Amino acid sequence: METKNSYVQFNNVSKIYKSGEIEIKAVDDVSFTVEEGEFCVIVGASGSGKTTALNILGGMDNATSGEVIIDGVQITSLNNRKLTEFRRHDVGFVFQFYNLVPNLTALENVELATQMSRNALDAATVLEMVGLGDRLDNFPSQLSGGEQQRVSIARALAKNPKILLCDEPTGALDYKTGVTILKLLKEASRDSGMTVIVITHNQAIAPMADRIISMGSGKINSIKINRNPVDVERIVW
Amino acid sequence: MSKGLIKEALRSIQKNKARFISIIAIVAVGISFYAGISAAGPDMKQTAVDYYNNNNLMDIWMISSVGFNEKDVEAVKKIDGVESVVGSKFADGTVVVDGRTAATVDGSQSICRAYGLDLDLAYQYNYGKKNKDYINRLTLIDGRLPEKENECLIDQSDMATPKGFEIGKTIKMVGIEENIENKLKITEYKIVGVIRTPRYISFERGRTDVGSGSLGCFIYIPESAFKIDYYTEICATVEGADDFYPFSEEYYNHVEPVIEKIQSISADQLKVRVDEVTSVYKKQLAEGEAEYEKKKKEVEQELGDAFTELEYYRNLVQNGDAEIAAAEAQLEALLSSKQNELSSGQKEYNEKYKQWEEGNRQVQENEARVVELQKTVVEQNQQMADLKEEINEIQRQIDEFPQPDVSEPTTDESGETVTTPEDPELTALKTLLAEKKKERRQVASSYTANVMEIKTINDNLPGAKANLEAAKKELDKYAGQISGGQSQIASSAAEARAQIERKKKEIAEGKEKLAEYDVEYNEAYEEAYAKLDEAKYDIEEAKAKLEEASTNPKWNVYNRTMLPGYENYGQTSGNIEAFAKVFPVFFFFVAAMVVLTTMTRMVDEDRTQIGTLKALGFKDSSIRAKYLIYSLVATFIGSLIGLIAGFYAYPNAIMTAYEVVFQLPELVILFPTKLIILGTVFSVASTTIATYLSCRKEMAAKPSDLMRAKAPKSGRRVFLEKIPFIWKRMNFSAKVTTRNLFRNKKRVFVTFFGIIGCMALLLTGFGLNDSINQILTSQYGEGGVSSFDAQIALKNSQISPNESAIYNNVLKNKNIKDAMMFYNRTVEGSSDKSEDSLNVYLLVPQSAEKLSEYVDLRSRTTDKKYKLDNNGVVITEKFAKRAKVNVGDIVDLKFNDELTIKVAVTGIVENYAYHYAYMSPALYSQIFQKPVYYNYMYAKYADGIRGTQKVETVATELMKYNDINAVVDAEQTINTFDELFDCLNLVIAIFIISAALLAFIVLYTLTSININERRREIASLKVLGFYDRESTSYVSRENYIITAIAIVVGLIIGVYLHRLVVGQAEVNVVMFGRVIEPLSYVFAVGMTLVFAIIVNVVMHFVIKRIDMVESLKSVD
Repeated sequence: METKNSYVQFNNVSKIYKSGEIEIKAVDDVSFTVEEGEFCVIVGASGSGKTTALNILGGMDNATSGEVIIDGVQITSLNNRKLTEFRRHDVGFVFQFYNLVPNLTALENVELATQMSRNALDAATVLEMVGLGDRLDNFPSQLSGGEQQRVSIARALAKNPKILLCDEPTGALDYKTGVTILKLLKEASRDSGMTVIVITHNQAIAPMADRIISMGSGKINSIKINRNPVDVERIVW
Repeated sequence: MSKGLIKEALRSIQKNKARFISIIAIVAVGISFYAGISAAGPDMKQTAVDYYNNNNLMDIWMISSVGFNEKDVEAVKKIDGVESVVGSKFADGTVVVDGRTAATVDGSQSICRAYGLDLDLAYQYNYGKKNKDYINRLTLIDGRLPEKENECLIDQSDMATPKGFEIGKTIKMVGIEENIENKLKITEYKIVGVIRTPRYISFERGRTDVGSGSLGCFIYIPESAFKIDYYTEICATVEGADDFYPFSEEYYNHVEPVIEKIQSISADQLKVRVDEVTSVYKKQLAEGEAEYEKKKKEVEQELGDAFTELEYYRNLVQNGDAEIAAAEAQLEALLSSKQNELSSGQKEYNEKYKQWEEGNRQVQENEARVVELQKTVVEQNQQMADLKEEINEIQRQIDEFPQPDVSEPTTDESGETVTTPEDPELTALKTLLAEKKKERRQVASSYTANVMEIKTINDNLPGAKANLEAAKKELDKYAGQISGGQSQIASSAAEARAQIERKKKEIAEGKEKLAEYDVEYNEAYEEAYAKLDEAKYDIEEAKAKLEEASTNPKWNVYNRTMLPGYENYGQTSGNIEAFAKVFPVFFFFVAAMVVLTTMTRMVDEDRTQIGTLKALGFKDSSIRAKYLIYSLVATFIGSLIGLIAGFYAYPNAIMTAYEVVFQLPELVILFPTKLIILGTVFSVASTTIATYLSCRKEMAAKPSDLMRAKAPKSGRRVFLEKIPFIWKRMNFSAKVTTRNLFRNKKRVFVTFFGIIGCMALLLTGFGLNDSINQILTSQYGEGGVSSFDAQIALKNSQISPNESAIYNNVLKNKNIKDAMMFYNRTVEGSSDKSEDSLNVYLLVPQSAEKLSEYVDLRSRTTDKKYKLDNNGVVITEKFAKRAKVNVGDIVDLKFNDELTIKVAVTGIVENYAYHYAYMSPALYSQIFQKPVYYNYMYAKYADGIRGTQKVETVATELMKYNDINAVVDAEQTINTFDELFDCLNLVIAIFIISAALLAFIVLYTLTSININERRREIASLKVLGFYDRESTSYVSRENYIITAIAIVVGLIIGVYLHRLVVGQAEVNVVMFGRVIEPLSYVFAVGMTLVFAIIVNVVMHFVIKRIDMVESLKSVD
């Protein structure tokens, strides 16, 4: 099941927090792989270590041990600057709470990303793509949650990253909006062959993925490859 | 409020230490500024109060033109309200130290007042016993009190005390147009101590009746050193006056009635004193006149002889050169005429000699001919004798030859008679004979001719010889004559030359002698007239006293306003108080704003907690209390630190600056309750209000809203976006920055004000330094107002510059390029428009046109050049300002109580040190109906006389002229000022430190709030892949823009603040420069930028440490 040449390799990664005498193993010797162009969902309850794993994957956090290789680059050995560069050009993030810059319009929020990325797409086009062609000049506060999340996705996509990491992208959204967002992500994965990793506590989302990794207490419970992903529209939670 | 909440409040302090400290710091800075500057005025006043009470400063000062006697003192003592009365003595004169007459910084001779000191009282006081009859007590600063009559104490002020006044030196008092010996038993004193007296709180020394009219310094000598038996002044204290504040209206009102009472008894008291004076001075007058007559005769005799001699040499020198030239010309003429004569004589001689030579040759030829002829004659004689013998022989032969018949002729066959043929031999003989006879005849004839010739020659020869002889003799004589003539010419020329040389030498010697005699004569003249003056002074003194006694005897009774610097000190401390009312407001404002933003942020951060507490049922007041406690504790601590620091730092710094001018004991540091309460209340009130305002919104909100994440402040378009022309041209980050700037206006404004304050303070600090330096550079520097190198005070007034010996002597000095004479008199300048009166130097130059070569009469503001004319005076800027006059207005120049002139102002000119009024000599003569008496000189040194040592040498040289009293060079003045102004660096340092504190606290606090607020945003940027540098500049770019704009505004405000501070800080006698040098702008801007950069560098590391994961984890 595991191939040495997988696009994303997570090999024996641990993340241990020390708080005085107590050691907390947020991620405990976790290994998995994700193939290029896959839509991967990591599911787990709160505190299962899935967010930590994602942060390490995205170069936002360091692993205590183990190695992470993305597209042949071992990011666990990169220094701060290289890591920043990696985030800059190769990773797109989508957060639960969008994390848009409140003082910039939708377009400007996307431009913030595109102006510094190497292979950036046109900001307005990407916004058009996510269905916000008519909201370019709105500030985040003037947009609904779903719209904000679309901007956030647009910002991530516009960088044209190798890998798109989404942390509970539907967590703050109602069902309907959540579905459209997931659809958007799925389309991105399908249309541009982008590797997408979504973490969620919502088991219901799992069936739409090509690969489902289930985590609990910092360890992998199961890894399932889904030959027939369910259509997003049919997912209900 | 529950125990738990209090605990929470205290814990929040620990949790938010940086924030807590920043509130303490800004409050401390604000309050220290307020308290410090506000306390400076009261501190200064209290220092004066303590000083005056301790040293028992007189409340009333009396002087009289006829002096006082013991009875006058007694009479004043009896007056109600008078506490103590002391009659004492003083005498004014110039003072000589190190062989030079002491001069003041302004270049005039320093007139010194010797005060009498009651040694007993002084010693008692020194041992701690305060006698109420010891008025104007002296504080010994250095050395000891006098023990002997010839010991003195000097003045503490660096500015007033002449150079060279040091313990151990001996100084000599010299009378000014009077015999000081009439007043002082001893005129030379050894300096043994340095003192401070409450009489003179500033370096100003007031006025005097003698000399230039302004007093330069004072000394204290034992009272027993005085010769006069009357008092020159009475000092008195008033009962209960110490209870009033010295500079207050109440104090003056308390003293005034006593003054009036004293004045009311003066008429009666004066009668007695006038009689005394009359009898004393009548005697002095009579004696003086006799003495004068006697001395005058002596002097005239003495000088007459000297003058004759001097005239001889003067003639010699003046005519000598011409004589020499004439003699040389004469010699030349003589030589050439003689030479002519000689050469024509030589020619004649040559001709004659040729003639003689010809004659001589002939004679010699003739003589040779005779010798030859005689030889020929002898030969011929012999020849003839020989021939005769031959003839005879032949005859005899013939005769012996057979004689044919001569009678029978013989005929030959032809019939002819034929003679018988003679024998051929005979025939031959006969032929020979005939021949010989012919030869002999020929010889004889030649012989005869020769003999004849010999005879002829011999006959002529003696005559010719004699002639030749005579001619020869004549020629020899002639030759003798010629050579004699030549040597005669040579010798007489040599003689004439020698004579000329002798004369030349004589003249050279004469010149030396003349210079020597000139000096000698001048010295003798001066000395003689000085002697004569001494006698004259006695007469004049007596006359003046008699006149005063007979016409205008008066007691002048003054209160303390007459004391130099007294009112000025009161005003100065008042000025600072006024200053304190405006300036610190700004600091309070900034402090309040900082607290407001800080607390707002804190409350923001605590939103959820507040919501929780509210939900739990806590009252608003309890919840609010946490924040109030937090800010109160910080404010209290800040106030405490600020008060203590402020009370010490600022008053001391301000006083240090004023020590240039004022001499007082160490500053009394007050802790005025009013200020403590007011300052604390103000800061507590402002921070509390700020805190209250910060939590108002949260208090009003519902718990459920509070527990929900606060919606981030929504983005808004800024007005610039409506101007696409500009907006489109801005790059992305410029747009972001612009929008961010407008997002949080409150924070931007606080930062803005902080930087403006910093900038303005820095500019003021550096500008103050410039202003002070400009006193020197603009007054005495290159291109400054004063372009003379030295000021020379003369001993005696000179009427006409051209005839003035001393002026000409100075002009002749090789170190002096040029000099100009002045009349210099200190007058009291004032006008109807102002209460102020100032000591002003009235300067009347010898030439109104040439004045500009020494003083640049230009306007500071318009650069207009003024010229002296006869319509009025040109006055200096500060005088005009203080008198509140413009060009065309009238100023009063008061010479003394009797004489005040009113003149129009025709120009107001730039000037920095002292005050001047320039008047044309014509106007002076017109006003006073008398010619100008010049007593002063401005001189320019020759090129190359630069540097202290050279200048010193020239001054010493000039001082050798008897008529010069004092020489003060510009360099000396500059050095004096330089030393004085050194202490102002402290003030500048205070400004810079205040500015730095302000900038750091404000920038740091506000920037950290900014970062905290935007932690999430920054984390997002980092996740997006912003480098640390980019993240920092995302925040700091705003700071730099605020800083840049604030710098510009701060520059403008700083210029005004500088002007305000300079106006307040300035003391009477100088005008600070008004220009801030370019370098100061550079420094102020540079330092502000450096502060901003430092803060932003610190912030860079803060931003670098922001943890993306942590910051993005939760929304709270």
